[in-house]
Amino acid sequence: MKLLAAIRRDDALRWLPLWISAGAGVALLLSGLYAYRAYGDPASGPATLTLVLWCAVAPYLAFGQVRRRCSRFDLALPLSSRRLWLAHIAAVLLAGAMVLAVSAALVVSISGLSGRFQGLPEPRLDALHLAVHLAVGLGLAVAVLEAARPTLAEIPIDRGRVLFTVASLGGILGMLWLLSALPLFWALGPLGLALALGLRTYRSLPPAFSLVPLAADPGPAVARRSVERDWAAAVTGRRAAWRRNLDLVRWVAGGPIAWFAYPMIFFAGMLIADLLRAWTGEPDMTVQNLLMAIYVLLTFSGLMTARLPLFDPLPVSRRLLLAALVLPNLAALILGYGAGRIAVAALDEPRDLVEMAEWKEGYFVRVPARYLEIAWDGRPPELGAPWGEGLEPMLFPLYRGGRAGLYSPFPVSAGSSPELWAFQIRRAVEAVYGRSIPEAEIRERYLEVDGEGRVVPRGEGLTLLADHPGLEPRDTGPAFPVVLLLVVSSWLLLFSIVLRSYRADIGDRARLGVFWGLVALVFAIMGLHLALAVTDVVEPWVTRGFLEIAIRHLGESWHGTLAAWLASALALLGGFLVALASFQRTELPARLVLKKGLLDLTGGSS
Amino acid sequence: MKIAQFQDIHRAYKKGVDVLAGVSFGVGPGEIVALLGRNGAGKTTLIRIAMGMMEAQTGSVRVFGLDPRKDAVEVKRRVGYVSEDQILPPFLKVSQVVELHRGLFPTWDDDLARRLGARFAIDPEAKIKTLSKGQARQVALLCAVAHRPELLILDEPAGGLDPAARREFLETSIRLLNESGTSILFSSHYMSDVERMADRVVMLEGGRVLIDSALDDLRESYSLALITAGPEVTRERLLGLAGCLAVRQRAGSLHAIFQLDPEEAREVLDSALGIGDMRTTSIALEEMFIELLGGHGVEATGGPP
Repeated sequence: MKLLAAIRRDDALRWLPLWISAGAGVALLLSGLYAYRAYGDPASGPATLTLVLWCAVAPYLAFGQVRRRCSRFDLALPLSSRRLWLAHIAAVLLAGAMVLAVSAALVVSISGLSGRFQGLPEPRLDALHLAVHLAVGLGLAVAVLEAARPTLAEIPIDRGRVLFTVASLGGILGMLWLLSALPLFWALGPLGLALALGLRTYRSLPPAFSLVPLAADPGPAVARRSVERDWAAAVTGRRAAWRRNLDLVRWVAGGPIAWFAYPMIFFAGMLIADLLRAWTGEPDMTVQNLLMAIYVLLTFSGLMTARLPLFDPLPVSRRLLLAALVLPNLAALILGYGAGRIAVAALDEPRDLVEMAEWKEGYFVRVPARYLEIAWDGRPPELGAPWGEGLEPMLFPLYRGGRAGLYSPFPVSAGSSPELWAFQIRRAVEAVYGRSIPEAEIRERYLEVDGEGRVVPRGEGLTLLADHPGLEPRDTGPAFPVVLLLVVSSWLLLFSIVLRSYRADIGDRARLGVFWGLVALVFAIMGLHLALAVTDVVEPWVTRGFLEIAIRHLGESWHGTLAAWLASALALLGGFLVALASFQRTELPARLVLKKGLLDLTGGSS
Repeated sequence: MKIAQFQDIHRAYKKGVDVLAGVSFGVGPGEIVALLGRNGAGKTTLIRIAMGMMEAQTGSVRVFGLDPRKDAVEVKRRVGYVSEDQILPPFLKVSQVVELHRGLFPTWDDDLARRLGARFAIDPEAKIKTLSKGQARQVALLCAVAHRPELLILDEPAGGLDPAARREFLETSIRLLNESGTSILFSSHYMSDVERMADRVVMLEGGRVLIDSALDDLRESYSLALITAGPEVTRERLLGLAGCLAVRQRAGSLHAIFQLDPEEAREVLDSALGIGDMRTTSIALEEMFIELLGGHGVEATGGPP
């Protein structure tokens, strides 16, 4: 009973709903990847699911109270350290298992639903393998993370600990990937390692935990050091204002959280540069990626405010403090975007962008979505050739039942004449490549009529790049400023709401509610969009098309491009000023609680 | 001109529950003002308002004639601040904290910083998080005074320190004050510290200023009468006497606080109740604090004028 009570009191179970939600959020995000792999390459489905679920539980293991073996309250009770440690391990395993169970249920049900809507068979799922692998991974992670400093009630957080945690969780991710390709009995290896490590830690536990480590002996050299001389050396010279400001930025936006924040934001920048499409060929994650970037920026900039009270009594302007919070995150996003564009350029292979694609009983002229047009009133114009032949294009609504939608400005049908086909292909080539190919050449080289009188591709179809060297797609427009405008202005507006809750008359609980509530809202929108996509209420490629068409139109003239850059700059400035107006009114407490029971975000206690 | 001036300050944390409900007083040049009050009386709130870290809902506050909220940077440059709950960046070295302050305060005195650093015997290469509470507070004091502020604001600066560290802290503050004529506004629960340091005492109660008086006047104009209780000498009768603020019963005697000097209190008691068996003395600040803020006598008499 005492053990059970200690488990219930353990900090590892505090904020469990938050960790379950966070795990579910990660699982929700990655469920698309799982569905893509499970349906595209069924053999890789189970391994992908294991990795997705590991990613869902990893934030809990990294940020949750795994490192706190017992509270000060428990330390004062007549309980042995071994009993407390066993209770803690049980609590961590229980919490981890719950995060995994909810995430697994979510991923499997969403991907199953998605497959059912598309008429695909259920992906192969070996529940026993999955459960064993995840249990082994969880057990090994807990054993490894708990092995350090067995004499302490709480393992201190420092740079080494952060690196160790990241390396351990990453290493176990790799191990799980290897295990998924091996027979089940191979899991006995890491299981044995986890048990051995756990037993070693258990046996090295002291009779009672300590709150602080024994101080290292400073040694005679240090003891002899002249304090006067040290102070004389410490207070010399004067740093330039810009270096001092740089130090402030480093200190405000640094610390343990930064080790996680900047790589994540950098990665989000790569995602919004369309890396996922270039990498996996999956084109329809644009909205999710934009929301993901907003989510990551909001979460980490919010958590970084924990250090603000340290600098509040100093004569430092709020503008500088806010810049210290915003600019490093913005820089990480922009660098990530740049790296993403470089990676996309390297991954993208030249391919024909104007194709004759098969659809139902015939073919159609397929171009990337950015070359379609928008019919806001839901009535695309009839597009015909000068000789009168033509037809009304098909509309792809933004959402099921909606009016506004996309249409192809190059419509043809099974019954269209070869002349109309050549006419529309010529127009499509002009729109995509900015060059004209004679209709007669198109008619002769690429088209033929089959026995049923339908126009079909001749030979290998529209091999335009091979036949017309030097064809280069036209500039797709100023995507960077538009994406920046959407992501950064949304982030700063949400961040300004978070800052507004930093008032002395708003308690910790309410402030946490505002912060995590907004983070959850962004997640909920991501989930909603995914759910609408799975149920075919929205077509992600249509949503993406709306954005890309707007960007293409902006890029058609220099003043459109200039307007995009200006609007982006103004949105950035406006977002910053809105956040600054909120920040000017904030009243920071002496210690800002943003994640009760998690990392000490200030980087230690004085 | 006052260095700091509070005028009818109101501030609530919950709607309808004012922590400060019309506080007005000022701190003159070179003056040392002690801010007293029970826990939750609003001392820290008032100090944070003076620092521009919080804002008053109504009323005005001026520090050096400036609005500490709108001119926060300018005000903070001229103020030294140490608070019990203030945390120095724990991840920085002492020398880095000092370096940061040197850059932010144009009037920074390197020589004074060196002298204080050596006097406190703190390793400048030590990280703040490795220091004891007393050492961290000494670093905070060094940073607060080495730029020779015009106003030093100390919010329970010695809270949690042992008596030796507390004495060291206060002596340093006083010596520096003597050197440069800095004004000091400080809050403390240690009445011995207040008696050693303060020129003036401002006592907060119920969100208002209960007493705003020079310490010497306070000593001279308040007294304690020790009276043997009897059928004619009751708590209620004593509370009805002019100048009687509070009465406490102890075994067979009554302890009455008067806002009169000891001689005047003796005369009042003698003439009104014919009491001869009594002793009147001047009252210690701590005793007054407990009687005025901790007892019920204030409510019975409506408090001092």
